[in-house]
Amino acid sequence: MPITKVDSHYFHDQKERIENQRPNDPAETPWTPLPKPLSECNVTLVSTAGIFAKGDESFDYDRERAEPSWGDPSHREIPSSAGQDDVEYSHLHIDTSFLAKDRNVAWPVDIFEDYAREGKIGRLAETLYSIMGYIPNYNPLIKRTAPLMIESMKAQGVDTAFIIPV
Amino acid sequence: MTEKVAVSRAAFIQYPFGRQLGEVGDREGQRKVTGAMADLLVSAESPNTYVHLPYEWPEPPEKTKWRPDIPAPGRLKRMREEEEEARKAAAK
Repeated sequence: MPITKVDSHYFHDQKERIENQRPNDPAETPWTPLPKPLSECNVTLVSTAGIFAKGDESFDYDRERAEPSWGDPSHREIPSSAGQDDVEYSHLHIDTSFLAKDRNVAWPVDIFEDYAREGKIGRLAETLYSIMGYIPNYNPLIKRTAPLMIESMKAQGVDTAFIIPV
Repeated sequence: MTEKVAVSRAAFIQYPFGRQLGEVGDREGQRKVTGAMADLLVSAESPNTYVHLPYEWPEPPEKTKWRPDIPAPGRLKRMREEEEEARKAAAK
């Protein structure tokens, strides 16, 4: 039977953790309409897979190993020209071997490059973004990292971003 | 989780962690998912617009690998604590 409602606990039972989260008020959800047809949009991607360009600074896993309840809240900027093997897929909480074989399982750079060639999107932005998605204290992510990413996107004239959490 | 955070638009999928768009090499399947994301971006008219994608992962959860071979630090800590508790309980 086709799935009509996704079961968030199908692969990993996090019921208690999720139920303990304080919900935000949906009435306060921000809204920005798509400013132009997607076929004219400058599009970027955001991953939570802890991706960084080879040669760039890794996410801080030494501190996470020393303090397992801490996760690096910073982000990395990745040139969209970086190929499959030009980056590290580093998130410690998932099996990244699938990404290392085919990034499009959760980092669809090749697919969006195809979309640009096919005219489905205007173009893929020069810079793509990743955070490392294990961030128990997310205040620095909201207050510091997200504004930095938004500033970078605005500087590059990005119209819309696709976020692919892992 | 995403509904609790409350976001403008989200496409939910019942795929394992780390392979949210599909299997290795399955470009057709991956494009179905990214295509659904793009469709939602274009069609959504108000915040909190969510769609549940109908795609089913081909393996059952118990046969689906998504955890890393080396457990994450937090999981490793919990596993050690559980082992310690079991050891103490066995010693009583």
